[in-house]
Amino acid sequence: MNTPRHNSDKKIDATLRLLGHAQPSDSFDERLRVRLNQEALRIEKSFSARVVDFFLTQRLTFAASATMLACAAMVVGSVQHSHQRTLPNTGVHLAAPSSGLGAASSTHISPQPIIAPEHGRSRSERKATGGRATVVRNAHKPAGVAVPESTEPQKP
Amino acid sequence: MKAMSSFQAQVADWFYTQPVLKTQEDVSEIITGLVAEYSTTLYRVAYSVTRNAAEAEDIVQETFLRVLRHQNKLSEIRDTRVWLVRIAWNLALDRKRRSKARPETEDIADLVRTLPADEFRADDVAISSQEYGRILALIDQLPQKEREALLLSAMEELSTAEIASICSTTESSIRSRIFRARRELTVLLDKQRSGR
Repeated sequence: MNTPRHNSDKKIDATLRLLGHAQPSDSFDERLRVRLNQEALRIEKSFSARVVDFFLTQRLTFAASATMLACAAMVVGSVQHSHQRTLPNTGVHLAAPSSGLGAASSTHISPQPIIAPEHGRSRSERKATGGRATVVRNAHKPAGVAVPESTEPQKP
Repeated sequence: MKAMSSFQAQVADWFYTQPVLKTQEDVSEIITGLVAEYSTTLYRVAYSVTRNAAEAEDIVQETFLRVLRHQNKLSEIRDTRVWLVRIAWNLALDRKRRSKARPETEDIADLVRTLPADEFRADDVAISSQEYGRILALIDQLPQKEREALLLSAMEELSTAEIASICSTTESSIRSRIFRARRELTVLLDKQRSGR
């Protein structure tokens, strides 16, 4: 049976078989091996050259980098050391409790809580009259504060 | 011959699993093994796309050069044949794409002439080199995926699974692409025949 369809299939198969049986020239493998060996040699040489280049030719770069790193390490170390130092507290000087000694500039903390005055002033209310300080009679004074009698006549 | 090639494959496998640098002698031995094992397959793959003997040889050489340049990254390669064919295949497609601008010089007539007679069955011999050229031109008219699957299926060394791996798809997809390619090719051949 040799139908046109069958014929086409045979031609397609034959064409594909042709492609699947292509052969390189006889000397191809040998040429390829030589070329690849040359390339392998070149790669090996370039690798060695790179190593030599890195350790010898580029010594200056290497030394400069090392110096920069060392300087950076010194600066960082110095700054960190400064941050870690404990500085004396210069703000408030407290007198040593119950020692009886203390500088005049030291802060004295009251042993009892201080009660706020009722009328907003901690001292007696005073009025200056004729250049003299007078105390109003009914001025509120803390208990125990002695105020001299006023010499002014009592107003009606 | 078979024992030799399996030895060479073992050498190649050993090469891929060694993380240390190799001496010049090692590399030469490995190259010899790889070339003997895969150069013909790679040549056929490249030739099926370019249909030019010189270009196919260039592609094979470039494939092995790439292997050589990336020899330290080869420990992850599981299937050497698929990996090499994929490199050659992509190089060939790339070269074909770039050569579209210049006139092609196909060596089909040379191939038909130089092929040993025992490579063909008796009924194949009746097809002339012009006819081969016509069918190959029709293959070039197929959609890309179908064309690629059909051309790779021409390589007897490659299984459907390997073709699927090269094309990054599934085996069933490859089978259906080949089927569609053959069907379309038959239609094109019939059209051509009825047109004459």
